[in-house]
Amino acid sequence: MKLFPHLFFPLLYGLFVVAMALALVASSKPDAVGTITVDRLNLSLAPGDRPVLVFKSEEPVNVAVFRQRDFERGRPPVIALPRVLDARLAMPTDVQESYVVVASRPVSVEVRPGRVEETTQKIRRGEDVERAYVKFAGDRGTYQLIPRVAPGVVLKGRAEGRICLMTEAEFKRWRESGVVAGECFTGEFQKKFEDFADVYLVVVEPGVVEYAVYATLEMLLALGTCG
Amino acid sequence: MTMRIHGVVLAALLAAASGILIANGYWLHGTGILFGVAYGVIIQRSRMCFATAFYGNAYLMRGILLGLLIASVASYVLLKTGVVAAPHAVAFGIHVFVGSLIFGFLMPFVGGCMLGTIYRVGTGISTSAAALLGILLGNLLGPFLVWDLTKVLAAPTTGFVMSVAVGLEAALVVNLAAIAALLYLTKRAVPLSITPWRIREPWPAWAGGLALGAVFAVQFAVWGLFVTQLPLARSMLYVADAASGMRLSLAWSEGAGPGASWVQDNRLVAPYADPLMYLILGVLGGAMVAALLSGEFQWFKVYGGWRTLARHFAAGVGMGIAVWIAVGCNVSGFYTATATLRPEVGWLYALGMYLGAKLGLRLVYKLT
Repeated sequence: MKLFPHLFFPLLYGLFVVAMALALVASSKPDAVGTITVDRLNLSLAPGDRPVLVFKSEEPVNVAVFRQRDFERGRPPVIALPRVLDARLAMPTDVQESYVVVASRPVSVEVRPGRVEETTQKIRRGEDVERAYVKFAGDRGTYQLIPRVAPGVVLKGRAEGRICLMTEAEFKRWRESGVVAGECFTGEFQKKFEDFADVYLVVVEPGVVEYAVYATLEMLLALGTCG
Repeated sequence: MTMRIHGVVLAALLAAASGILIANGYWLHGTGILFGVAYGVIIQRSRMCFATAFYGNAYLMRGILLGLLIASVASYVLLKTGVVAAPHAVAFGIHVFVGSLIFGFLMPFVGGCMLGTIYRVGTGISTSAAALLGILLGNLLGPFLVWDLTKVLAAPTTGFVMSVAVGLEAALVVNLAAIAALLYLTKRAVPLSITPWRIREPWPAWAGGLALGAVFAVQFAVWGLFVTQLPLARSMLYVADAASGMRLSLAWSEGAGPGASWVQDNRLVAPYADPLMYLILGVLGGAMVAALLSGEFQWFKVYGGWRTLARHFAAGVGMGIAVWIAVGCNVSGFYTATATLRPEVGWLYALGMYLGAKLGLRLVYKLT
């Protein structure tokens, strides 16, 4: 009695591995890069995908990234970036996910394909990997919820005017009473995050602001649980 | 002769798959197959089954320890010089002991450890194939059933890394001391001797152990970690998600549904896109090539009937669940953790696996 057609099992196994390889090659080209100018973009991601969305605009533009189902139900976006000039947003996903990216005017968008595993490898080698970069024209009172904050993540930036980094509570107080709180910076600033709590960047004095959020090895060790 | 032709064709197909991936920019995936094939050939030729070693085979245990010695020293150099930034990021805690105890207890029923099961499937043994199918099912159920409990058990000690707390040197010293003590114990059981290494015959354990340690060191330097359960669980959850018409994905992205916390912590990756999956496919393929070329392939003949297969399958399911309590099997929980200077995890796993194996063996003897 035999479980498998005995003459073919090793060959079928070999063909299966080749078919897996071909499926990966056919699914996406790692070097494929396309730039388009749109005010709305639909993005479908497979588990493990980590494309980077690159936005460029001569004029300040408001960019919002919604989960498809949130967009359809009129819920708030997962990322909202007002008055953007340049931005790069990594979009890692663990599951099948669809996003809708909406801009207040046509903006140049480039989608750079990538995989979560490749990024993890880089971090394991000790490289800090950019999760988000935003350059925006900051009017007084402009604020952004800093995207991709997690334990071990590092924020680095530069402000022409003055900005303050506020916790959720500080941000609410500022919205209600105008009382400026939190850590405030002019020029270069840097901060490491210890948890998932929301952090807001609020422009107190106008000027161009740019900042980047980096994933670090510490983040990988803090979040990594798996064998 | 037919068997050898199969071996050559399979080797060519694995090489082709690797070549296709590397040529298209998937370096990690393509080289994953090559490292896997190297592991598969080594473990099949040297019969590198950790279960047999933990039952009391001093020769195999000595081979494993020699490999760990090489891998530990290499990992120390790689981590110290910054070539590799971090050891195995696996949590230390009581869950490791609990899970490895169950894993070890089930080994006699499965007929081997994870690595032993893979090389026996590669050798065409039907009971191990049934066990591997069970392990796959267990890797689907584990994330659903036990992951939240694992996190609770791990919570008090999560974040403790000995090499960070007391230094890499201390972690290396603990490894060297444990390896020396166990080598001394094996010397008491069986005197030291060096069996000649003949490439066409089954390799002596010392040669297999050294080769395993050397490949591990190179892989750790240029590729990453040797783990087996993670890609299996990811694949099973991916298949379950596809079978549900992506309804599970929808629930997981809301943080709901069975397995949501596992997906959040470990990420879901399509099998064809997961470099670790290619590593495991390589291990199985390498073992198969070695068995075919040496004329040892068994063509999955069934001995003992379907009841025997069912017993191996059921034990495999338990083992697949247990690895998600321990957060690793004997490969990632013991070998990789110890070899990358996480002795607090690796040796605790070894202790649990040893005690579990003793209990399991005792029960198997009683039942038969």
